[in-house]
Amino acid sequence: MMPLDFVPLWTLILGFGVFMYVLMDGFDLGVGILFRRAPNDAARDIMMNSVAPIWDGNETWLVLGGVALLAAFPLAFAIILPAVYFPILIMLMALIFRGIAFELRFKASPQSKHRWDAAFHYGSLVATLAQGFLLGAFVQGFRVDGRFFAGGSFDWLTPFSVLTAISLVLGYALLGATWLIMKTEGVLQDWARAQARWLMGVVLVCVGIVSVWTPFLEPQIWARWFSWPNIALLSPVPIISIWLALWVWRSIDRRAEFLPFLGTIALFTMGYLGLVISLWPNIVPHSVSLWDAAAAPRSQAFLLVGTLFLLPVIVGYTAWSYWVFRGKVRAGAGYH
Amino acid sequence: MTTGFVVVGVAAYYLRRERATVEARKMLSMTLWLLTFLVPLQVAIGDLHGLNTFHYQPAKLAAMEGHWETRSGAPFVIVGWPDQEAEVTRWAIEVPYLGSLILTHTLDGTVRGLKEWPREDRPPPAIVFWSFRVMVGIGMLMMLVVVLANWLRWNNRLYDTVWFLRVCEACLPLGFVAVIAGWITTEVGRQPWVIYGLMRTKDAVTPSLAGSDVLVSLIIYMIVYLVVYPVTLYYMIGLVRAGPEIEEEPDRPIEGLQRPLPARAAAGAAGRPGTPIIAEPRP
Repeated sequence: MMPLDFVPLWTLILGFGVFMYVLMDGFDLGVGILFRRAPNDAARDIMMNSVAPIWDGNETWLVLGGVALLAAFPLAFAIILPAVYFPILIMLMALIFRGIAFELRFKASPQSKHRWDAAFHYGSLVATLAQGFLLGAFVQGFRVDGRFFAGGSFDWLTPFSVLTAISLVLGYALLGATWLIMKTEGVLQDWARAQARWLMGVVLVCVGIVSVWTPFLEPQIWARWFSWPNIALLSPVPIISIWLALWVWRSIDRRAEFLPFLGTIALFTMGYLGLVISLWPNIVPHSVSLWDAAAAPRSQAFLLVGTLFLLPVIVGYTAWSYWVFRGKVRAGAGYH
Repeated sequence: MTTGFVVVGVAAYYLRRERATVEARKMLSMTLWLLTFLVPLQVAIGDLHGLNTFHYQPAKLAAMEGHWETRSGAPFVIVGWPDQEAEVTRWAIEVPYLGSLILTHTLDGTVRGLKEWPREDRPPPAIVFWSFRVMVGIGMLMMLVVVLANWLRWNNRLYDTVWFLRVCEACLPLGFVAVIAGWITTEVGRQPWVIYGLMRTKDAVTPSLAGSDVLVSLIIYMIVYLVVYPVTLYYMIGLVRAGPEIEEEPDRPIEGLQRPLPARAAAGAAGRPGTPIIAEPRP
């Protein structure tokens, strides 16, 4: 009998974990990116309170993604982590400053509060930039020699990764702005609408440039998208994306509360789908496939037992906390 | 236990200054009950952990104990200086047979010494020996505090024995020190192995990482820690100084804690502790 192949299931778990992280920490990092531009201090309090009960839950998906990569695809972990050592280090340090800002900003005196505003804003911004560099370096691929990363510690810094870093900051800001449309009202909501409107425009431009640039990085990606019949089968991906962007704009103009956020999530889903189409079936782009990087089937099976119990628990408490803190966030009501 | 001793220390601080006495008594009483169970439990778990290390990482255990020769009926070295070059523990004060008793639970059990392993397979003994003693010493001190606390409680003098409250305040940071000392013991003691007996730490270094990369990242870690911990400590001390606010429950409890420190918001006057009022010892 053939041994069971756990790779598809682990790919799904890893992919789901990373995507959940991007969406969920994406909007709360986005709130941090927009934080310093907010109309006034009262608005900043509400913005912070809108994500305070859930941001750390959102970051559990980062832990899940990292551990799933380590345990289920150890070879990929061993190649990718050294290649993006500094972006990951800087991301984690920035997340520390952002994290303590949640706790200490409300305990600070009025004179020192602005320091925690800065810690929250720059922590969010730097963490997102680091993730954007990571994404760009990942898509470009790494220099691999056998089972090791063979490049230098700053290989991740390229024109393409600078573009993805800026794009991700704008993308997260859009997620944050549409989140605020959903969670706030009055002046702050109007401000969030104005932000979302221009952010949608620049995000569309950035995603466009990244999408056009990506096929030129590797002939393999070019062939994936532009060979027949793929070009016909995959053409809905960009078309739906553009349609979604227009739909987000329209829903903002119609003063919809929930639809802009939903539309932005759908747009991120299309972007993620595009990435998967470009890179499949490699986990280290252009060099190592999911199956080559996988841990021994028995290790994957062993880990699956715990994960399949744990995942519903994580999904459950995440859903529960969003349910408990549903509705509009008003001045003076925080979770602290 | 670490948290428990912080709570006990803060409660003692309030009691000595006659501030928030109702809350402070409850803090002291409840936490000392908790510690009455936790501290002996930790000693028992520590013994089990020691037996586990004795079995799986014997070189670490030999370094912890300062043993160089393998022998039965080994003594327990209370203090001394393990000399790596001379392969002896200098100025040792020993209790005969106690080493074997602790590790094998018999008087004549065989305990392996560091000379069993080639020099390159031994951990640096002095660090492991002393960090272990710091941890165990603090554990014994905690045990003493718990015994004293229960004796004072029995005599109804728990809340107004000034010297005991002073001891409690002094013990506030001990848990942190013990945890870090234990961490050093276990991580330095496992050297030179990262996977015990299979892979050396120096062979586990990422090939692409240059020494300068490691140095830069270490400096970044240090800067972040040197900012985050003092700042957090500053706010925690502020919270303790300000004390609990005695007022009605807020309408919506989630609002309750979300305000600036009273001591800082009111620019000093209201929340700052006055001159300490030291409770007189009972005659």
